[in-house]
Amino acid sequence: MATKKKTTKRTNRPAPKKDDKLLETLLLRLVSPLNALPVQTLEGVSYFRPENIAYIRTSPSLKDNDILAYDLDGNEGRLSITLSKLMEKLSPDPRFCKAHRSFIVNAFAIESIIKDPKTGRMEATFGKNVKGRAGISQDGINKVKPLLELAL
Amino acid sequence: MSLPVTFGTLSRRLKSGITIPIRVKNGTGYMDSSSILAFRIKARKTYAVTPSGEIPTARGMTWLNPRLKKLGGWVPIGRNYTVNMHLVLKIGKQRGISGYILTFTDGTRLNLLPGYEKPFKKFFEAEELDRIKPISRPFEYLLKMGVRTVETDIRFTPTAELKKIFSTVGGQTVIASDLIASFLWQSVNYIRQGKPSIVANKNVRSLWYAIQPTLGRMGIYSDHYKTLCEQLSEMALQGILSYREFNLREEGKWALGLYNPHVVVLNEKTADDIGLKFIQDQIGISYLATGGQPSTLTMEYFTHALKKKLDALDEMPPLVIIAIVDYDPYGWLLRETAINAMINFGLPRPDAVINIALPKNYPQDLLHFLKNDLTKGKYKVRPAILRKWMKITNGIDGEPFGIPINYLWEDLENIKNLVLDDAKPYLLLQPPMPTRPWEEVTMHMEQLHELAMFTIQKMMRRTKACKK
Repeated sequence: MATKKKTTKRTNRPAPKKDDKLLETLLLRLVSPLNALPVQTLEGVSYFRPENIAYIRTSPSLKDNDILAYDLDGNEGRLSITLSKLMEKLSPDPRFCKAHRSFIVNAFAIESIIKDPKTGRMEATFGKNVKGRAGISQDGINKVKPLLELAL
Repeated sequence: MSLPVTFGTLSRRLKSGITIPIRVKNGTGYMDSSSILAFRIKARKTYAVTPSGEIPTARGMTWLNPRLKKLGGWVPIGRNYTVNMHLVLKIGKQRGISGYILTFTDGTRLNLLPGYEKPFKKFFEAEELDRIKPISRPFEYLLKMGVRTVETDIRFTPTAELKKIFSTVGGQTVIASDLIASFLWQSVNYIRQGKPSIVANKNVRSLWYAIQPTLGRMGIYSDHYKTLCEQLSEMALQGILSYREFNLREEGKWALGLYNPHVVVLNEKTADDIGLKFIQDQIGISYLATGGQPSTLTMEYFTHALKKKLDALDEMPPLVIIAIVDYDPYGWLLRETAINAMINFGLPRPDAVINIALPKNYPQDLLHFLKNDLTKGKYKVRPAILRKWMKITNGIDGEPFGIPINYLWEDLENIKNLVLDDAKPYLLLQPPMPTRPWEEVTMHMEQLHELAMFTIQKMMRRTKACKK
């Protein structure tokens, strides 16, 4: 009888620490632990909330070494920092992942991962408001996929 | 459990804050603080500024202040406004307005007065509110140029909207240079996004024709083609864009040498084209005829082609510039401009710069007839420029005289020899040059073909023997 009682207790009230962990994971999915990311635009500085960032890429322009950030509302801003250094800054937030040597993606904002029929490259899309797509390398796929599943 | 996120951001995300009592018809209503952009005091009454307008609150700022302080992220931006920093999306400046312009998530704009910036700097962890640091040089230049973002194609944007974006504070005058620069920036961005260039295989004038009707709509009828050329050239020099991105047609007179491409003969006049080709055939050098001040378009295309050719070589040879320019301050300036443009577009600083038009290269007995007085008449040069040039060259026997290059071009063999004497230490292949290179290449290919056929036939014979 005594053993039976113990089992019932365990199933009804799981360890509180695990609850905390789950709550924290869910909370981090909802809100980023980081401050807003200041990015330069032609009109001034825009403050992108990390959870609202779609992806960040190196500049396709010729001379500058800027990186471009795109948010989910279709806004674009730039930063003069290397992608690796920015990734270091963003590392406390689990949603960001360097999916390609030229791209950092917000895994929680990905709408789909598709293969470009012309180039054969994997690309992430983020909804109709977001300009362009983010490239994902084979190594990047292995990093992004676990993030898309809620690991407990 | 400690929260891994701040309360303010969580409140914004969950759209939940503290309850604010507001005045409604016949009673009191309640609003969540997270949806309020700011509180405003007007005629001793407090209003909540929301995306849908201003709503009078039931309580004054004395009641609100301690509660907002507890919540965090609420600060005054002047005497009358206290704003929710969590809902600030953009901070910028506007011509003629002191302080900063705050843009909120719904597009509402409020003025942050000077002297109230400190809490914002602390909140956003920024040294400057409208500039991030560091910022790349090309983009900083773009900001200086007054380029602005226009969501739709500038050419097809309604006049009223363009006037709102590009007019002065008074709203009366449209700044044409800002509009042109923004048009160029927008066009190159469209190309970068994969759209075709609107001026592919056309010239710079076509870019002007593309924007001219828009300027006309704004009441600007004067010819701003020169402005467009200047803006485009500056943007190309600063690395903001390139002519090649527009796929513009380039008709510059230049050619890369087959055997000694790293030796560049820089000629001031385009009329000496045949002479340059002759020198190229004899020594295998590259040449560029600038035709006065070198055009940025030509410099970019030439530099790009030369760089590509030099990069393909196993070892980068020393870059040598042989300048055939007038022996006067303007010739020297022209040479420097061309060299700086080459460096700007990606070539290394030349290892040697050699001038052909030096008094020693002219017949000494004719110098008296050929020289020009640089202090008066047609060839007069500004004293400051002349002084500087005299310091470097010493003019002719210490006198401020120059010599035009024309005379040297009269004898092609002589000018070729002058170039050859100076270029000799740097040449990868010494003259005489193979004068019919394509014939040689064809012969070489035929030899390779014969060799390949011989090997294939040999292999086939072996295979047959094995089968038997």
